[in-house]
Amino acid sequence: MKIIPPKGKQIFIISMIIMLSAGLVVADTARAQSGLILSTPYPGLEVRPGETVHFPLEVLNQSIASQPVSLQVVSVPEGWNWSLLGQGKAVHQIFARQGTPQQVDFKLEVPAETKEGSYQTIIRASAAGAASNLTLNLKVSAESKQEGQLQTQYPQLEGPAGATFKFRVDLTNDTAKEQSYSLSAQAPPGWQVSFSPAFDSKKIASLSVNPGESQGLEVEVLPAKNVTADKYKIPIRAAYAGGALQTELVVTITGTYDLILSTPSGRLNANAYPGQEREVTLTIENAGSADLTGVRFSAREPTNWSVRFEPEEIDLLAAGETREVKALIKPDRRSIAGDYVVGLTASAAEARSTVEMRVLVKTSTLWGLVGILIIAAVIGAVYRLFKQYGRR
Amino acid sequence: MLPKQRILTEAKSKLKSVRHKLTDLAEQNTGLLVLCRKELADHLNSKRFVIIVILVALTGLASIYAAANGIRAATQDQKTDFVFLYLFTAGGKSVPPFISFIALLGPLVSLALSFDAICGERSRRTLSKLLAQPIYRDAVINGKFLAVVIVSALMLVSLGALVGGLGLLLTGIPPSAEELVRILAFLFLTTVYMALWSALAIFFSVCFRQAATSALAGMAVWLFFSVFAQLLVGLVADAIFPLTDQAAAQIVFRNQQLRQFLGWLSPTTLYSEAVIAILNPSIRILGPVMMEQIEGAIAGPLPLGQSLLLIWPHFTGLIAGALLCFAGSYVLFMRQEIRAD
Repeated sequence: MKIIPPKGKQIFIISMIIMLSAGLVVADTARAQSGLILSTPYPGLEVRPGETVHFPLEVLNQSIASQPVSLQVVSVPEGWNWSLLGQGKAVHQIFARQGTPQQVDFKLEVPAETKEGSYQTIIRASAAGAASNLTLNLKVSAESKQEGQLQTQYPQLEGPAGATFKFRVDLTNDTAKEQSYSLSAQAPPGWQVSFSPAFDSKKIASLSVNPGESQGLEVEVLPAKNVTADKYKIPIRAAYAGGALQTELVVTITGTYDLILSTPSGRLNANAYPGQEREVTLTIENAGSADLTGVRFSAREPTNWSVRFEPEEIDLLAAGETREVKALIKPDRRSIAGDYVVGLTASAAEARSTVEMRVLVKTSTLWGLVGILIIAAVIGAVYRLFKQYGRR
Repeated sequence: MLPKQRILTEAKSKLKSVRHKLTDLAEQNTGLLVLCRKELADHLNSKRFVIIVILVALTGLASIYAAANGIRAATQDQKTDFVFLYLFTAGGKSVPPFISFIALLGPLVSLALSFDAICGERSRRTLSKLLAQPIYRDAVINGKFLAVVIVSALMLVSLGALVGGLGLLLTGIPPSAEELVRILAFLFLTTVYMALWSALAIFFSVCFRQAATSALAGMAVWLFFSVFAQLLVGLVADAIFPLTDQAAAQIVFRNQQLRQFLGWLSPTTLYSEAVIAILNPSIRILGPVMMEQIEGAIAGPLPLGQSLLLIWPHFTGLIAGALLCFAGSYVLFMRQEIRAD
């Protein structure tokens, strides 16, 4: 072994220190100089819980010979799912040619239950003689910028049952990529909700929107047939690869008022005798979507006739309810035989219904009997004459 | 004996007694039936009957022909459901309707057939010979009346069938069941009406010894009821309830009511009203009506039963009148002294 002179020894030590410290200071550059760089344009990202983020990674081989590079995720927050994707396939190695950057996609799913805070993920690219680490800083915050919007200017519409409600909804894609959205709505049973592009009648189930653009949508809501007056919430959802956009539409069904007065058989004629009450059964139906209170009955009858109702008033007739009512029609004592029109009306404050009843007045057969008695009396008298004078 | 057998034998004995009574009745009335048959044959063979039937048939057919020609336009105007009845009630431009002819000529036929029923026999001196036969005395008048009624009915039924057949041929519209019943009711009503006039003619023929006087009396009554009765009724009604320009509605109504009431005393009016009501179902009332009574009423045909009820008083009046006339002549005839001179 060669004896190093003390001066030389000092110099050696100093140079070693310099070399070491220099090596420490420029560790990264030294590694870079070693020739492998793993990078991504935005290593610090703000994300929302439940979001899936993509990091386009780039591996650059500067100096070492072209060779496969192993990729591995060194550290990831607990419970987070990740995958490295190259042309849609999960990869763990990438072939790095010298001087040519290679892309790989790093997909990271942030669990929905993640608490707010800063999280780190380290990815390492290593090859023979060179390695590179990439630290991704993720700041999880609930109020972070959304990646799109489902917006409507008028989220509440009002109308009667049976009307069609049309909402104008704008779907904005704020992500960096073109997204395909699948549209759905949660409507009450019996309701129909359909989506169509603005100014187009085609019904669509999904659509794709370019990044930064917004697409107008028309949401058509057709309430159920027997819907009652109320406020209905209809959440609509546009699900895409990175999550889902939601908004809530509100339909307020105002009550419709419709009364239908009829008879159980639909027959609108009756027979009656002069001066005698005749019972006619009527049905009153609330065909509207709101309850009716204080349904009264009235009649437009010929002079000297009388029409009574039993009951005279119905306090509450629920929507869709049908009740029977008796009308007691009494023609004038002196009315002539034949057909008459009696108008029967059911009216509430909101609605009314009128039926025209054809009443056939029949004359009593009493006078017919009297006629028969007179004829019988005359025949009897003639018979007595026969007895008295005949057979002489 | 079993109760069943007992009931059976009782029923049998009852049936036997009824049959006995019937045969008794027939035996008692053999004279009546023979006389009736003879009278019928006499009527049907007489030239008088042939002339009258031809007259009635021709006028009737003429009116039906006129009605059938105008029926298309008329049914479109009136929108009636009873096209066939329309044949009877509608007339042509210059020909009165069938029912008017019948109302006018029916009594004439009856008068012509029986104005000399008794007095003819008397003037031919056959009455005493007839009564010498082993028949009851009332069989003569009963048989004559019965024969005239049967002849009238026969004539009317055949005339009705003829008119109906012609109407069917001309219009091609078959009558409905209700129309048929209404026509039959009309024919029956007319038979009763003619029977009334026959009874009246027989009454006069019993009253007067001369056939000409009897015929004249019958004609006078017929003319009175056909023409003058209405004028007289109007005169009386206007005298009791004068119709002036300022007359209250009450007075006008009373006047009309009185007119109608007095009109009902005439068999002609009774008959015409009844015929109109039975052949025109849209007629709901005869006589004056208050406005309040027809308020709310809608035009529509009356059911058959209601039409019949409407004319029931008329019908009763006509039957009672016919029977009373006959009873009068019967009593008169039975109390008359008939000598074999």
